[in-house]
Amino acid sequence: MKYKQWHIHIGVETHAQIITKSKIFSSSCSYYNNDPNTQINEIDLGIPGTLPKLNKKVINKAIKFGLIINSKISNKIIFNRKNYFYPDLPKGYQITQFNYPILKGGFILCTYKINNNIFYKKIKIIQTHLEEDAGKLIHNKKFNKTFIDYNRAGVGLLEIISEPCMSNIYEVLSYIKNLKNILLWHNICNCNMENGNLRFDINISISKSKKILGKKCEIKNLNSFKNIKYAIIYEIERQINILKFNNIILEETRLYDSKNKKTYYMRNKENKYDYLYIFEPNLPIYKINKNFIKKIKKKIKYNYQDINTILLHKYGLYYEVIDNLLKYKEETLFFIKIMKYLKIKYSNLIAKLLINEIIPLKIKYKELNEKISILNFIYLLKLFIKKKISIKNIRKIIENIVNKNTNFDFLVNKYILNDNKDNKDNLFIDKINIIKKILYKKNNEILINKLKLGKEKIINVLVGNIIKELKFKIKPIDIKNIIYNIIKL
Amino acid sequence: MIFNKCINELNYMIRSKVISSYELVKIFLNRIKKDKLNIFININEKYILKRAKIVDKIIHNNKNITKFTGIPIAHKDSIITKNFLTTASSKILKSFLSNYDSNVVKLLNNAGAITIGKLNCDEFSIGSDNTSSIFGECKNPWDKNTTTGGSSGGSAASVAARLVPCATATDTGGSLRLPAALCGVTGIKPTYGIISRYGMIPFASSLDQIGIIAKTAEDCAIVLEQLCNKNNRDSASEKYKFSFLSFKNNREIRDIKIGIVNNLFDLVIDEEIKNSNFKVINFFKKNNISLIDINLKNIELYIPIYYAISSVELLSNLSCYDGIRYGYKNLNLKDKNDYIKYRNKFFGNNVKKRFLYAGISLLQENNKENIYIKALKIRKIISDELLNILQGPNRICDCLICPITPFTSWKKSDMQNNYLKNKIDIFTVLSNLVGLPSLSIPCGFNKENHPIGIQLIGGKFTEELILKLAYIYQKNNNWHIQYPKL
Repeated sequence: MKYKQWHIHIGVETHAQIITKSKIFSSSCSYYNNDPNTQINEIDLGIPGTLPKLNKKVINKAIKFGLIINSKISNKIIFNRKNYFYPDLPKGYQITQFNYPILKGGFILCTYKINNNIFYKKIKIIQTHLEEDAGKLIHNKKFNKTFIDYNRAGVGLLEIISEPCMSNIYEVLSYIKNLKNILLWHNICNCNMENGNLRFDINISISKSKKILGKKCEIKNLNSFKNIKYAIIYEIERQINILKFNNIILEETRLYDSKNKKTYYMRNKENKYDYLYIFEPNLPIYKINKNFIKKIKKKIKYNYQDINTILLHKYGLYYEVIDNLLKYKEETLFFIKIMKYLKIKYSNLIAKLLINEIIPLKIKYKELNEKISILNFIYLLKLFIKKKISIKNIRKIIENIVNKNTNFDFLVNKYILNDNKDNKDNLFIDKINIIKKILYKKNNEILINKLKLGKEKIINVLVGNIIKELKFKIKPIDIKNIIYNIIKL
Repeated sequence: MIFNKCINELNYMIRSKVISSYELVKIFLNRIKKDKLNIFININEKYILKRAKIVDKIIHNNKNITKFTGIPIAHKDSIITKNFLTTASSKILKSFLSNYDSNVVKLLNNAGAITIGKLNCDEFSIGSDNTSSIFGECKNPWDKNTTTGGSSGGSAASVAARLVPCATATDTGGSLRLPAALCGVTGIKPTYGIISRYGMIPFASSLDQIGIIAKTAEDCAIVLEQLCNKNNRDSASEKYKFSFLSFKNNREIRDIKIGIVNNLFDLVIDEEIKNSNFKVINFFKKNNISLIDINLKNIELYIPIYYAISSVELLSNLSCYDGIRYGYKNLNLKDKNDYIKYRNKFFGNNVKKRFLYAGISLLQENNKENIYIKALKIRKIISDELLNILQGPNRICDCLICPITPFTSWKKSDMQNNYLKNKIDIFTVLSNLVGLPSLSIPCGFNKENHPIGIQLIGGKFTEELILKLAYIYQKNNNWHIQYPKL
């Protein structure tokens, strides 16, 4: 998709529902996929005389997010009211932050691949702020009525606004993917896009210069990666087609029709609606002191963005491998732990094994972590690296341990031995080398000499001596043949 | 006469079983039934008598008895009660029955009070004469041709006419103190945040405060003690325990300086008011309390910034009355325009005027500040000035004394003059802008027998001080004892 003379400017606004037990300004439960209007109280409904009360856990999550994306954290929390009429807005205004967002700046690291080239970009964030969610309108065509479910009204939201610095779909999708991972990994949001936990609005404008933005259109209600991709593709084409003929783009809010893969007009943005922002008089100005931020920082044991960087630069993982691994937080952390014991040059090999084999096993057998220790895993992986054990047998070992509680050492021995099809030669060479070493020990030299002089029955003694010192099982006849081969009889 | 007794006495009589709660309540109900002044807008006799019987049981069991057990009280209709409709005297809430009790009602019920009913007031607490209520104007018990003042007209009139021993009211720009003065009763608006606003239908959230109207400062103190609880549901609530015991045992005043706000006294039109007010000042002088002359800066800005801030907050607070959940059911409204027209019918002119003020205050040209933002900045300056005068080791005085109204109660027709109407708040908005406690005390009558009041304004959390000063004054004067014939 190359548009030579046109510069594309895309910005993403994200609304993420914050994971807390209660809503941001009331004590009703914030998990709302239940019967309509069962998770509400008088404050959510905006019944006259009620007052909001800030749930401070929401602040913890916001600060955590700010620390992870390197934002500047404000030392004060000040709320505003955004006044407008909509049936799902019970108070007639939304409590949000307009003048003083809690977080300013920050960035999200993105990588993407086009053909065989990998690109890296730091997508900058303008600001992140706290606000409350509205209710849900349920349209019923049969009865020609619209119903209002207030369960969602008052759930805490984190609104993250990026700079309009993305210039193609890949950057947008990478940004969304990494942002989603950050929110999931750090337990800030459940990120279920179908449920509305995580919502994206995309702003697109096109201009002839890189620095000057064009007139933007906003596309709302995109609830899947696929929809986002096709909506952006369509919208870019649409805008370029208008500009080609020297026409003007009208600032609009548009929606996406997934059947026809087109965006369509929803409402005009030319006359900007006046939201009559005022300061929220019912909430005081809360102060955040540096010690509080320090405490939260201490609790963060790992930072998704740092790990993303480490996987790339320290372990040299391939783009697709990183992409797949980062979907699984526990396995990524597991990977980093075990890589301390293994050589970096095998990182891709190990990562792929984790993704393709170990993760499915862990998903299938949830007690896996308890039954196999990290050191045992590392031992298996070392064997795997040395090609002493096949993937198939690793699987068998794990399944045996989980289902039959068989001893680990016993299984390893068993499966190294029965490895007839895979890596037969290498294993055999290893065995020969081991036997060689034992043969040339001092106490066996006399016996070898005797054998060379013709005393055939000495071979049995030799075989016996070797078996004593062998850690693996091997048939005595094989040992005999090996010995004869080594001493060239 | 029983209905003229103080809360202390009534409580004592009930506790010592001289009279039962049921009997006491019946006495007040009989007076209320004769009321033709449109003071009460909602009474439920069955509920009241039932409640009285419950209280009598409490007394019989001798458990949980407080200083307030058995005391009847009425609430302004903008304070939410679970057992009575709460309408804020507006059409849009005409049939609104809340599912929760406001914090003040809860506390008083727990203390054994008996809610008698809801009192008339201006629509959404906007206005200075109680004429914008959908229930009709409330008349002054001293002179039926004149107003009670507003917006808490019903609250002040109910105590003045001895229909209840005390009543709650709200004060955003003088709504409690003005009617208290015009009806010859004592009223206190406490420091912002001391009494929880949870359950009060808001007018201007950063200025509103619930207060108490009663016959004497001592009565106000008893009720205040019940209501001063830190309530977590109001984020602006302040930790402050007002102790009646401390007030009762230590009623001396030493080393107190009162500041006379000269430039406010200069604005009083009525000579009789000036004379009554200066007599109060002389009383304090004679009792060895030092007085100092003060001129407040920027008083010409008080009214404009009050109107800007209060109108903007009102507009936002009334946004929830969207015509979808409030108003009439089963109307065939098709689109947004229908809702706008329809919603328009449910608000009175006072409300709509404030909406217009709000719109003007929020108009924004390019990157310039709008009037609302400017008003907030000026408010901070005024606040700093007053806190410097009244608080801290370098304070100039401990409290201020100033008038409440430029003239006494007036006829409804007289208030057509907008100039006067707007200026009337100038003595009272100051306390709301800064959040200071203010007390209104009766101090005389004019030749038409209309009550005259005077105002004491203290620094934050100085309720005890200003109530003490009022108590000393009331011990040596009789203005507060007088009441009109029904």
